[in-house]
Amino acid sequence: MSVSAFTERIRSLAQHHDTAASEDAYAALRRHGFSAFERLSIPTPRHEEWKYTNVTSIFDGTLVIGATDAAQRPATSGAEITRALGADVIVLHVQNGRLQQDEHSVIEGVDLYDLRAGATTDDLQFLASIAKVDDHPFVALNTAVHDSTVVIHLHRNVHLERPIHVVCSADTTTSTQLHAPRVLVVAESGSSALIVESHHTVGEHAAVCVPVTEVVVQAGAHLQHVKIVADEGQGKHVGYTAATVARDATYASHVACLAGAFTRNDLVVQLIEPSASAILNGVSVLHGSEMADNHTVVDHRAPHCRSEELYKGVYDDRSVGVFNGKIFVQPHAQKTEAYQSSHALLLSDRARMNAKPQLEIWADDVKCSHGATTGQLNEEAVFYMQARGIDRAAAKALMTYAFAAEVVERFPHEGLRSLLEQHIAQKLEVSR
Amino acid sequence: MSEVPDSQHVLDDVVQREYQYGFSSDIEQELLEKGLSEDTVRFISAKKQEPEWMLEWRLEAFRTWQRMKEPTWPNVTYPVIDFQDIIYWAAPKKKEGPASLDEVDPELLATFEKLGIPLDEQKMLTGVAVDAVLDSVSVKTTFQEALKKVGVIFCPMSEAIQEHPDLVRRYLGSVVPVGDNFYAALNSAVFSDGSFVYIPKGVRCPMELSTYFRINARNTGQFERTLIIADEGSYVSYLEGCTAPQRDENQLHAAVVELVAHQDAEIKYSTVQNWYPGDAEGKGGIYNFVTKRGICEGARSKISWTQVETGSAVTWKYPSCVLKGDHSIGEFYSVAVTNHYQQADTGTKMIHIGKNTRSRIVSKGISAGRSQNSYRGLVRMNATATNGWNYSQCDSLLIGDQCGAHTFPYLETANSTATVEHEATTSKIGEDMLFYCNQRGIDTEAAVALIVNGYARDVINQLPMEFAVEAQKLLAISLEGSVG
Repeated sequence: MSVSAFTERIRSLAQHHDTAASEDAYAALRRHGFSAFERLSIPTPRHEEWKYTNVTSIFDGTLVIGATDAAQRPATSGAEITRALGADVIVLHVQNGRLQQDEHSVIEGVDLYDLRAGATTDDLQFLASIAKVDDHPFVALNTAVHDSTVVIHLHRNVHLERPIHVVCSADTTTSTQLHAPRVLVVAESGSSALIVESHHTVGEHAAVCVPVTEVVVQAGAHLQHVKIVADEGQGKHVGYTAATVARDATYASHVACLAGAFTRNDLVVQLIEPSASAILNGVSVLHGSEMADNHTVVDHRAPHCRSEELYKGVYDDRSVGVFNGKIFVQPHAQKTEAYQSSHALLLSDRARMNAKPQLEIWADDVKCSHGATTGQLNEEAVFYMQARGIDRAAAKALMTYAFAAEVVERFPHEGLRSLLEQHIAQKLEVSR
Repeated sequence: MSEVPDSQHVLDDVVQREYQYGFSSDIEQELLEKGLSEDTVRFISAKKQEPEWMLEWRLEAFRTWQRMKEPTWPNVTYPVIDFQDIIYWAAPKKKEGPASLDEVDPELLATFEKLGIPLDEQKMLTGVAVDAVLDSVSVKTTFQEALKKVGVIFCPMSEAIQEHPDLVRRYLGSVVPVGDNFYAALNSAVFSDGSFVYIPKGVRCPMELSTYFRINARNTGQFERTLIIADEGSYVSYLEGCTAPQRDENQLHAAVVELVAHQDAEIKYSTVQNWYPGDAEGKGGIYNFVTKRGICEGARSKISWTQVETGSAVTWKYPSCVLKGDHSIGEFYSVAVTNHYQQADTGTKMIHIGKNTRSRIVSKGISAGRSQNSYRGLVRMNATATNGWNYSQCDSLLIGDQCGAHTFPYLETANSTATVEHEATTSKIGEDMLFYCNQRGIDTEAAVALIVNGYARDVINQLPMEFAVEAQKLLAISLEGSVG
């Protein structure tokens, strides 16, 4: 049970890959991942970015790395989300890190395929161009051990009406799993789509998921990206999402952490050309000993960009919430507008919340603000409802629900919203 | 109609402005050779004729320091400090203990006179007692007699070690332990002087107490130690000011300030920090690495920190409050101004332990030139801090497009009844605001001073009157007109 045993396994895997290595670009990328991981290693809480979240406990030498060919059982929670997205949803099943589809399909101007070693497509250029292998230990780890990349490529001016659901799951019936799904989304100029990514595990053994999603939003494109971590199983999640947003384009990220023993999301959005915009919404509703850590970075690298961020969390029992939101405004990114707010509600004396909103600004003509609160429901509002005949427990439940629902209201897709609202209502009911 | 000076012109004007307190005095001084070892520590202790326990305490601190590493986490950059290249002891030569002012070196008196701190009690504003510290030693403490009548002890630290050893032994290092951090350990080993204040039970200190720190000698470091104890139901307001001559090399200032407030006591600690900030090219200036912490030991006690930071090449300080007593209150009001190549990483820590503890943080950062200004703050609500309450506001004002403003607030909550609120904004002086003032006949320079003073008003209002006036002038000097 130690990080060193885990690192040793990765090292032996790297040696195995080395002997089998070809001159293929994909093999080179993986080798790069191995060497970066060797250097960065699993961070300890002494590392500023991992101060409140100890990941060392979830990585040990017993994790089985790499996809197994055993028949996989689908996750019921994944199917539920698929249903909520309606009849015309396009579903991509990624099991133990590999897309369950061999052929390259093209649906309504969207390329959907599995990018593997030996492939020669133009999309190779985007791979690892946004999520930097050398900067982040888990991008390095994913790059080192991932098997292939799920590519969703929207062609110029394609407005995809049908939502895409990427279901990432692991079956741990026979053994523990480390799985590393990798997704690349390229939205060419003027295109638009809704992509929903969800993570699940089935089986009794532990699973650790280290997904990386890279998103390229080109000029004038509009991309909605929903990520749901609702793992009722043994899964632990350490995910990384990175996006670049070009001129006049919009990237909207919506993250929901509704269950899961251990969830860490890193989200990095770079606004690289003028008038790009970003929307970041996040909601966590936790109980028991669940933990959710959201680290977000909005990097304003060009003038006249705008970002708006809202993260909220409700924590009961012994659950722990972490929020770190960075806003960078680089020199010359004048006329930037960047707003961030994060709010947390603690329902129990053993629940904890650690927040670190952070502004770093190198340009003077900007409008930036952040606000962060941690506390309880407004007693006056509760009293107002009591005075109107709603009992105290019901009043508080209603307000707690409304607190979380404010974020969900900003999510895209009617069906998805009602599913999430239903989940939150149920969870708060159980909590009471 | 006369033409309004354009902003670039005004900016140039400010860049060329000289540091007002940059003169150095020609005082005959006794200097120890450069270098730091156990012998240095022994020398300082012997020089001050300290008792054995004090030497032991220093040596333990020195050994602790040797095992520690210099912190690298603050958001500042500066060349590696060679701790062997610093003079740890510099004192004006003097005859045996000047009993009256007549025996103090007239050059020394003139120095403080020039700084606006006359040490002659007749000349002073009544109501402010001053302890003047030049380099390593305290030169003169005024109004000691008057204070003694009400039982207040206000004296140099070295005198307190001799005359009030029980108090010093009980409290020294109780708030900032020897091994707290790298610079606190260094200070514990080599501190030379500083002020000691004890306010007895139920006494409201009849005048403002003040210490004025002056670095004069070349190549020296200043390591002063201040300890303020407010016993049950007492009140004291304490002011601290500092300046240094203009020199090309960097000088280190590593102080430790400890405050202890017992039940129902209140300590108000104000600082106007105006160390030499270096020239327009970023050459020279003081490294100000200071540990300040207060503990609200008893119920209903209160500690309030107010700081106006305009000087120093690099500042690294976090005046903190440990709110241990139930219903205790901590406050932090700060204006930090950086210009040219100055760097400041400053903020506060509010540690809520007791029930119904409250804290308020108001931080105003102003960056101009090529400076970097960071706010770093921690608010922690322990599980025991039932009904704890905190409100933080940190605003940044940017003047020019080559400076940076950063905020690093840490908000840790482990109690469901506690409330933590934090707000931060970043903005610049709007063209519309300046235009509005110009239109009404206020020139750009005066308009900027007006706007900056308005922006910093929440903090300036917390200062005692004499200091508020000085702080307002300082802000105007540091910034007026520097609009890009």
